[in-house]
Amino acid sequence: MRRAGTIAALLVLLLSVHVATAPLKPVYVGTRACGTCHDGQASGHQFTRWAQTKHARGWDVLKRPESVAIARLSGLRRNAWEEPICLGCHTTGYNAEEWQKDDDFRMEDGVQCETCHGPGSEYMREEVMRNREQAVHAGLRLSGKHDCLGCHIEKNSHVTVLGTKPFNLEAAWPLIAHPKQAHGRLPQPTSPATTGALSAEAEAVLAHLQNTYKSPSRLAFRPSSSELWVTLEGSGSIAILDATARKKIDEIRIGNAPCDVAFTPDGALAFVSNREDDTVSVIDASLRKVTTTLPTGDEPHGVLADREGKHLYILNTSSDDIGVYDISTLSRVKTLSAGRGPWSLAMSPDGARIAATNTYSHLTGFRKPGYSEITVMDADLGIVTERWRVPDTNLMMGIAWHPSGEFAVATMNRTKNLVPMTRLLQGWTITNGLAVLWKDGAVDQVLLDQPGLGFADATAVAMTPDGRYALVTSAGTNRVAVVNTAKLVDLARNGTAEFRRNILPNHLGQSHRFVDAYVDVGRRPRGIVVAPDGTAAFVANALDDSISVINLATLRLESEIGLDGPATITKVRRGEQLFHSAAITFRRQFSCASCHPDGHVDGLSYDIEADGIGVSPVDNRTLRGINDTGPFKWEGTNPSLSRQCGARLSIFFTRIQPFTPDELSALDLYITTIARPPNRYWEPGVPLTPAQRRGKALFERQETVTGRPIPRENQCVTCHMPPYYTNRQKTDVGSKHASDRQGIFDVPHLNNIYDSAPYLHNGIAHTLEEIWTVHNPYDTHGVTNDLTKDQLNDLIEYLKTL
Amino acid sequence: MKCRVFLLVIVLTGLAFAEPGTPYVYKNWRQFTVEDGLPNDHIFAVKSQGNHIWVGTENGLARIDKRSGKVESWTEAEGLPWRVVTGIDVNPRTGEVWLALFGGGLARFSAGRFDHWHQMNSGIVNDVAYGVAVQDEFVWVATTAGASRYNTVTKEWQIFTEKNAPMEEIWNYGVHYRDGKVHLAVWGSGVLEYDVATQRWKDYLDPDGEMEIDLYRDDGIIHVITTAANYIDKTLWVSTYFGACRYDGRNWRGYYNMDSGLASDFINNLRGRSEKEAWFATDKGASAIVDAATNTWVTYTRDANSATGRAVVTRDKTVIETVEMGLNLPHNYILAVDIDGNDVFVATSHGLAWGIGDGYYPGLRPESTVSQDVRRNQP
Repeated sequence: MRRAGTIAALLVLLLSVHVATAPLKPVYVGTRACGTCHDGQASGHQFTRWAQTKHARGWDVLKRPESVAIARLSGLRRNAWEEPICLGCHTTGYNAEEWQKDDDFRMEDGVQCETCHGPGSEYMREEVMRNREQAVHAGLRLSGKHDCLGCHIEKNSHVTVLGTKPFNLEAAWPLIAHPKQAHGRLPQPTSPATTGALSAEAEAVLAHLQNTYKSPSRLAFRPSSSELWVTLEGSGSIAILDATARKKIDEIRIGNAPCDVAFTPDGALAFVSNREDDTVSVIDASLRKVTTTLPTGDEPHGVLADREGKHLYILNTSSDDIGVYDISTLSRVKTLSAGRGPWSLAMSPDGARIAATNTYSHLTGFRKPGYSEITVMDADLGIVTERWRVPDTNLMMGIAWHPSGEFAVATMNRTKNLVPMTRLLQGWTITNGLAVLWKDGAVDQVLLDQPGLGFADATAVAMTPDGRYALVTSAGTNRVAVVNTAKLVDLARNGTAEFRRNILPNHLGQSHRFVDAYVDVGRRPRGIVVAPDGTAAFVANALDDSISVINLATLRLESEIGLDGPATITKVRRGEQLFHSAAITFRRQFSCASCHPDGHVDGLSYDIEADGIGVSPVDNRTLRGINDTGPFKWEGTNPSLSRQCGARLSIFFTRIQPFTPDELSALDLYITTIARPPNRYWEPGVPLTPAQRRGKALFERQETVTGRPIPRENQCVTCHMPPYYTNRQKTDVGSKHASDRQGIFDVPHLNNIYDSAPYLHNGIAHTLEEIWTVHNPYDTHGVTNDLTKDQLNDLIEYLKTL
Repeated sequence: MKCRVFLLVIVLTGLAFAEPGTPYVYKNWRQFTVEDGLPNDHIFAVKSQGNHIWVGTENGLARIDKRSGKVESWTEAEGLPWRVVTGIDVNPRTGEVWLALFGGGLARFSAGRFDHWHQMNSGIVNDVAYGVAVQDEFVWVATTAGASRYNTVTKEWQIFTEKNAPMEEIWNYGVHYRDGKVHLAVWGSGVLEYDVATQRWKDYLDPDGEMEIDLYRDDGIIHVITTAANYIDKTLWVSTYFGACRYDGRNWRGYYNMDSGLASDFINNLRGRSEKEAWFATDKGASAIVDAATNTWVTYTRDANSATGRAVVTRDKTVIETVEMGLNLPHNYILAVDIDGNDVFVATSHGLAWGIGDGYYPGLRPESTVSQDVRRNQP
């Protein structure tokens, strides 16, 4: 009896071991495994034929210089052989997890059999392969021409660099045909691919990469010193200036895209947010050395230490929250809910309150005016106590408190996105200015525009120590407005309710009543800070790699401090300057960046064309990594960026002479290099979570939950085929709204889809869920109505990884 | 020697028959109804946090300032995403108030702003939400189609149903978090315990499997149709529509109207205060077991005719004391209870009662040590 028990226990143990070690299937086995059988005369030399195609060298070419240029022109940051989008077309199983790859599988073997036929571990056995039905059941995919189009679409990035001819599917198909019956002789090997001369654009991109621009962003004085610290977004470093001597004294490497810098009250520690790394560098300010790197939420922007030096506040722009950290332990204490896109922080003079701007308007509903939020925290309690509403605004960025504590001012745009942009000629499409945030939560708004000259892209604001001036940068017109706060307060407080509610926020002719001077500075002034003694203001000119110094006694530009950026202005850099300049618009009202801050979106839907109020509104779309996702526009009518940004721009947006060909070429080149941030939900090489894995299966499924076949045109991957997750076609998914002219729209790519709400062509869906729960009642946008709620959650978790 | 033995017997006999002591009785009550500013008198949820009492009603949310008694309220017209608030919890770190909305899913109220998650715009499993609990950076919601957990940092939703939890039925009535454990009270599936550290589930079911009777006393949870579960001091308190029970990690103990001070076996909700004390929201008054070791209870009821209140102290089923008082509960149909410090808050179908616990003491005290001021002079 005892022996029987022992045997039973052993059996259970063996079974459990077997279960625990049983491989998860199917897995990729590699093309060599296929070649074991699929070669030689009887098989039509299938393996050898493949080995002589470009498919077999797909991975190798990723290390060529051209690939560097192509990656940059695709908005990618890493090496091409590390980027999922590149690997998706140059290798097999690029998004497979480790367990999905057999030991003999090598990504380096390029585009292999299993790219088209699916991972082969379950159908590779001869007895299975000899039974077509059984093989299909085991996972063999019988691919058709259509599958080629996932990769073999015209990619602007490749055309620009390689000058590749348009892909002819009909002509190409026979070249890779590999019928099992022998043809008698092997095909002639193709000649080795040659690098050849690079295109001018490729050379321009590579030249640009040789020039590391500094792109200064924000500045802060180290307490009790003359050290002025400047974040250099382009070079991933901090410049340290001697503000008294007006010169740069040091530069230290920090992380990727450092954005904001703040100090503890004693100046011992500095904190720098690294937007692209999702970290904050903690620096020993005396040693000028990074001592710790704090993980943060998504895309950290503003940082600020409280008056006691106990807590550090970090704004996570992409995850819409605020991390509160204990400075003594350098650990996160809590996460507070912000508005949308928290951007900058400012502490009230008494240190009791900390206010944060939020760059995106709240989503308020289809074609409803938005409002921005100022998130106010109690510095002692470390909690949000107030959320001030600033109506009809967006892109609120800079903020500063008046030393009296009576009010703060914050930069803002007032974008008239609900009416056609014809009002540009009246100077009233996007207006720019300041919100006056009274300490009791009341808000006034004033414009810094002038009737004939806009104040595009008000970005940062700083207050003089005596509170006399608020200095505001206009990143689009390269100026600083010197706002006389006494006049501003007088204007606001003595106005009638009607004046304050309707006139002051909209009237272009009011700024002369409170602006004492406009001072010209360098290109794209982003950050501004006033010296503690109040004698000078320092402005970070992002596209000149310099710091402008404004004499606050004369209100004139005093000097400029160089940051040792490259002397050469590359074509890409020239395009970047054009992108951020309001000189492209009638009366300099806005720049490309006004709607595409950081090359991304402003979260608004626009009624662009003069076809009637409310007709065919369209959601703003990101410019990050879009080069190969054309056609452009939601209606897909612009096949190229040059068309999108050329004459069309003049007609619908800027109402001024279009770019010259050289300017347009530079602008387009810059746009193609706007990089997509690393995906926050999946890192290449890291296994998917169980929910993501289940979602992937749903994304790729061909049958409903009940086993009913899903028509090909209704499968997710048909239109959103990897690696761009768009087939670049136009299609009708039943999303036509009563306000739309037509219902056929461009299939959008899904890369980093999680950070570009709202969704659908008109921005009617506020969340990914709403695309299917609300706007897909008849399964016209993929078959989803058979999914349970947990399955839909899984699908969305996967979509976030793309 | 004989003398010593005799004395010992006398002492032991005396101890055996000595009264174990007297519980604290709440006599100072404040009431809040629509006349005081509540948006509705049907109170489904109450949560006290700091200086505020949050009140969830059939038509709106209210916040009572404890210091001034001032009532602020929010209905759908003021931005509340859904009219019926059935559950409230507060994140003590952030001050954010989380609301379970009966038919409306989940909402967060933070510094005047409501955020709304429902079936259509989020991953919550169902909009019919009964309860909500904050577990660090997660928020749990008990719904009629399972439980949902929302990660407020990653924004990820997770659903727990029969697919991934030992949930024989998916109708979740209550959820509670404390000390690393989440407890779900599930209609027909007893109590489910989720260990946050191990991410594992454990179920508590009625061992006798009988729906109509509790066949074997104290063998486990008394019924699988549970309404609430609270875990405190490593003790699990459970309410059902058929009585209550307590589990100390080793032994179960059931409580019924027939042999305890429980006003009724029909219990809508509960709030555990300690391993000794728990308050039960019944359809016939608020019953508090104040000393589990001696099965001592205090049950608060209102006289429907005179609008005066009464507290009855019992041990087992024996009435020890009846304390008549003025106002206590606005109604005997109790839907929820909360405890904060010395005070208790009772949600009824006709307003809120706030029991002010000046001089409160836990458990029992000998009668002689209880302050006469506390015992008799309260209004």
